[in-house]
Amino acid sequence: MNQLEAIIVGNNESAQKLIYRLKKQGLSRLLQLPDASQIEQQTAVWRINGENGADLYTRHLILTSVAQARRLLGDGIPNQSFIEKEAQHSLFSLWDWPEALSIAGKKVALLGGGNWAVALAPELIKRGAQLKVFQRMPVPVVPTGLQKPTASINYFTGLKPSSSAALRSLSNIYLNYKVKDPWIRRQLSANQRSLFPPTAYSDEYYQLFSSGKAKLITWPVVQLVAQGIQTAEGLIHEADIVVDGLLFEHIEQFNVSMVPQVYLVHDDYKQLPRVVQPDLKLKRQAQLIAFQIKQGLNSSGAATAY
Amino acid sequence: MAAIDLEKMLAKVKASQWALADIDWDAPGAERISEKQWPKLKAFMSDLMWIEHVGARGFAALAKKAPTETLREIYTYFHAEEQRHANAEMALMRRWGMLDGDDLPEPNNQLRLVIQWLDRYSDEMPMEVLGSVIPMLEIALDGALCKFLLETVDDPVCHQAFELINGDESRHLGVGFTVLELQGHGEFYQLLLKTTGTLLRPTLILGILSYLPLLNRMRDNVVEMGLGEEQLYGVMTKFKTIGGRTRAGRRNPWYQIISRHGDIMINRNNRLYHVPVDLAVKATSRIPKRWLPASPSWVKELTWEPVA
Repeated sequence: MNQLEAIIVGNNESAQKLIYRLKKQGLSRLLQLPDASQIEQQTAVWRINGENGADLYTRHLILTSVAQARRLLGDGIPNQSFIEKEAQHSLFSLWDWPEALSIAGKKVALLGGGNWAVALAPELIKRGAQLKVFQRMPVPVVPTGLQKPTASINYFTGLKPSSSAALRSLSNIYLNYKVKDPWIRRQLSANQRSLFPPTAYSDEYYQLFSSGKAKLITWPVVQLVAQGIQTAEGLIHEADIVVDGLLFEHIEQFNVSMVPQVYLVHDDYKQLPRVVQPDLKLKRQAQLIAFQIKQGLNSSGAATAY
Repeated sequence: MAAIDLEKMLAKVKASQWALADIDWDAPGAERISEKQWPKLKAFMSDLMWIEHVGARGFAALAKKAPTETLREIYTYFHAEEQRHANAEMALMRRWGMLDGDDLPEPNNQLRLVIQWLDRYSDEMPMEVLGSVIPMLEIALDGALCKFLLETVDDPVCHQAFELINGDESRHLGVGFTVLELQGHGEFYQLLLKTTGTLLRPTLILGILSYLPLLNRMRDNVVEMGLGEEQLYGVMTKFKTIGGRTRAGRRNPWYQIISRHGDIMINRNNRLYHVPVDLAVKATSRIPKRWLPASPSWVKELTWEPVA
């Protein structure tokens, strides 16, 4: 059995960034699959059925889109932990929320308004977070009821309706129905001129903003500071926890064991990861804690040849 | 003005970010505002803050229309920066005891009409319209209002804040005039036809009808504050000079329209223009506040607090 150190499934921007970062760290023997038809968790590895039908095996499986993860792994993902603490193989996903990390009543900043954010934001609210979503580019969101029909169309025709104009138009209708405030609606509306991000599925995401449970911030993020997030409108948004759904856009230090990353910014912690701004002046420092997934690629040595 | 490299400009914008928390708003110096100066300064600052905020909404609309990803990102930052300026000016007003509690200063009726227009129609406007009007407003803001404020106010915190604000505004002007020139390329008859079509849009006519009284109202306000009318008109001619330096800039029909409007506006003897517009100022000032629609929610994002 040929076993790869890591397989990255997906061909989106997140996947490209991930590969770029990994290659920069000298890890060149990775495999990227545009898509997979089936994945299965075995004793110590993940088995992936690639596009050509051949089975591939890997210790670390990285899925780069929520829609893809839902299709491959089933509907119950958000509440399901795929990794037992003792397991020797890892699925890096945002759903492996550290049990010890209580966020009830905490100010949580979620960076990124993409598919990760759409899936994660309702979960954070359910756990009692005071949430601010720092959106860079909106993605079209449609109700989860449309997920199976679009998957069927994809299966039978090979078309990818998740990135189609029809689904984006449906998303606009859904947005108009769910969000009454014109400004919030404008900010959540996916730009038709953008690079057509794939549609996300959620019944709750838009409602978070219309009901005021979560606050949408669309100002560009400048940097992480000890108190939270500094944005370009000149304010610092206080945060106890920063969840990076932008896949390291703002973070120079990359650690593959976190997708996305969770940072605790608090006086009790010692170290804040370096950010892109070189002249960052930290009055206080904070410590990165993260999903405690075992054996990140950084610590696992050279990748196995395929 | 030579065209600038937008990629480099974006990098510069990103590297020049500052926050309200970088300024000590409680530092000594607030007492240097004299009692005589205070009421006029309050009205001036309120107008200035709202103009910045209106400019911010203009940049938000431009970001939606930008033809390239770099320009879209630049305008997204400029939108945020104008909001930052408005926030900083509000923090100054609070420092000088000009805010009623934590409430926003009340915008005048002309501003409210422009805010309503921007909220409803600015996203639909072709890029040429806002892309040409904004440099004119920026140059008036940067060249006259901010300069005048620094000449008359002796508070060091005000100087510190406006040094940062002016740095941002100079980048806005650089990009504004570059875009103005870029829009002057292409077949002239096509530019002309497109401009004529845009000018006939009822939504744009509504915008012009709300914009002209605002300009005259602002002129009256700043003159009352002590700024010489000639000084204000002097910076308006700067738009004509800088925008018309290159052939491409001069070929932009919107540059021609706006600079000619500037000529008319600075000619106080042009009664054909000033009498009806001054009447419109008086008429719109008398509209009862309750008749005006509620302010859009983006207005409520203004704050003087450095930490949210």
